[in-house]
Amino acid sequence: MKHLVHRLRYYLGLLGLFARYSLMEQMEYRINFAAGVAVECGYMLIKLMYAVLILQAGAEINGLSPNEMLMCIGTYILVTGVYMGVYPNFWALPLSVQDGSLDMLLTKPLNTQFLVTLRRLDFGMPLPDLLCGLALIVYGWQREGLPVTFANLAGFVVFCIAGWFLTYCLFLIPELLSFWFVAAGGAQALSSAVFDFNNTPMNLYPKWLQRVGIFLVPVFLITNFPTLFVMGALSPALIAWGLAAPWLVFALQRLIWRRAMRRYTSASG
Amino acid sequence: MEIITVKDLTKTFTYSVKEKGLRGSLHNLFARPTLQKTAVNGVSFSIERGEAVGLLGPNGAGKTTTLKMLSGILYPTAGTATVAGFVPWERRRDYQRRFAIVMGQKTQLWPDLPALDTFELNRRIYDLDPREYQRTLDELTDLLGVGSLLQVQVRRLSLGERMKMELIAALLHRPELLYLDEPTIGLDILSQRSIRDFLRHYNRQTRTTILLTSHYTADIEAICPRSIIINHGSVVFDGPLGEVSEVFGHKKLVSIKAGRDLTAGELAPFGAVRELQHNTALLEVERPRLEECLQRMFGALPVVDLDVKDIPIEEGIAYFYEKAGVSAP
Repeated sequence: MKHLVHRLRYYLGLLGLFARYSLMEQMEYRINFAAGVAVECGYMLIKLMYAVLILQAGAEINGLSPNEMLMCIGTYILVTGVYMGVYPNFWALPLSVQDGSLDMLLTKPLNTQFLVTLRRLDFGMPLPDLLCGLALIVYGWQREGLPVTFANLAGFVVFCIAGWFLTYCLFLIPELLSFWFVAAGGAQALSSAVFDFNNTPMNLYPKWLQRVGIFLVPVFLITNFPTLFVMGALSPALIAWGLAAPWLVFALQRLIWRRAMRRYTSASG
Repeated sequence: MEIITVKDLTKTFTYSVKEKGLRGSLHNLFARPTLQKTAVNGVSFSIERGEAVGLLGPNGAGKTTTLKMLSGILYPTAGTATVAGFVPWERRRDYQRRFAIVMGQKTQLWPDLPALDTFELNRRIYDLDPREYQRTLDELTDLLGVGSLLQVQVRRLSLGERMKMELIAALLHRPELLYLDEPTIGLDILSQRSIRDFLRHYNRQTRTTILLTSHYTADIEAICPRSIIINHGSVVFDGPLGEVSEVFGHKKLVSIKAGRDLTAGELAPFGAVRELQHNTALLEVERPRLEECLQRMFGALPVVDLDVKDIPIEEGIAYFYEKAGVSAP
């Protein structure tokens, strides 16, 4: 237990240092920082259009009220924001496989995946997403009059964290393909397209697609389960699945990670 | 006591080829012929604790690949290696704490931050005691003379200064073993010399084992009493670098300057003419005939100046490079 606490403190301390260094680096390039915020604001506005449309239509779709749909979209924007915080590492991974810059990281005495995927943290791009996502969730929650209890808040936060964890794993897997195929742009685009199914709540999709998105490629868990939990619309089995699926995907991702590490050929020079 | 034991280490890379032009690309889309390249071919050697050993070889000989396998970056295709009791590619944290690697063409420094920030990150990664860390840092910055540059952003440093910072970052945790891959590449003469001096001093003072690859013979001569030449993935020489040219031990070079222009015809009886320019010439003479040759030369030619020397080390190295059919760079 003592060892575990020491390891946790060790990794959290490093994460804090990564955050500090990343922020220091980003402050060096103010225009780039501002451009990142502007671009993410653009994407966020597109996502907000769905929210506006849903609110204007005012209709209940497949059991979801407009306010609840607003919460789903808010969660989507929020989780996207947190993911954007680690995105620079994911984006750089295929490049570091190509040019061999991964070499130095592989020799450090700590968890390589932690170092490779969390070393650079972005603060500009997630900022608008985090603020807007939170605002939508609070607005929808309050308008719908859902009870603000400890259980609801805790459940919502836990499913949001599980959703972020799933996003991390689901986006990392395609990047790992670069260890086999060097360029993984196509797979990256595919995972982004699949993730964008969360632009709207899953209730809007046909039943078969919902099942695929819950059980096969559990992408709908990411942004729908927090709201569905608060609504009391998740059965105990689905709650269990919602908590287990991220670990299963994580286990799969770790398996691929280990194989990828063995596969790494570095670049000459 | 051996710290590195390598036996029959082999690394084969698979790659595909493509014919030129669009037709080749189209063909490649459906059928991609794959070939195999053996970068390291059954290499075996051992290194004692505290030794400084140079790995030499032409481009593509397998030096860097060997170093990458020993540092756990790459998995071998076959063979075994034990370093400080560990199998490198198992990437055990205890092993990773015992070595450091510095690559001339790769960096571990954060370019937009002062090197001091990367040092602090390494302190946290290696879980070093702050006082011990500070003592090591002071000692290294003092030895390398970069104390005034610690607060400067890495991207504003010269290549030589950056390499010194890379060395500090690598040595902060006081590794038992230091792998160096072309640490002086692209550096000016002064920086090269200062890094060589530092590495030689560090190896002697701390008994840190050094395994170094370099294309600069001067690096190896200055730092490593022992050299291993690898060509086509195999060890073709293992011993002191000075012995490399012993393959030419039966020959000497005689450089002469005469009082008038010389001709190839009049020089030929003394030995093979390597160079001839007006009144200066360079001859290759068989060692047993040297004395007799010199006496005859003084009698037959108006010699103004004369110098006898060994065949340069570079020629010995080139011989080993060419031995397996590859030209020296």
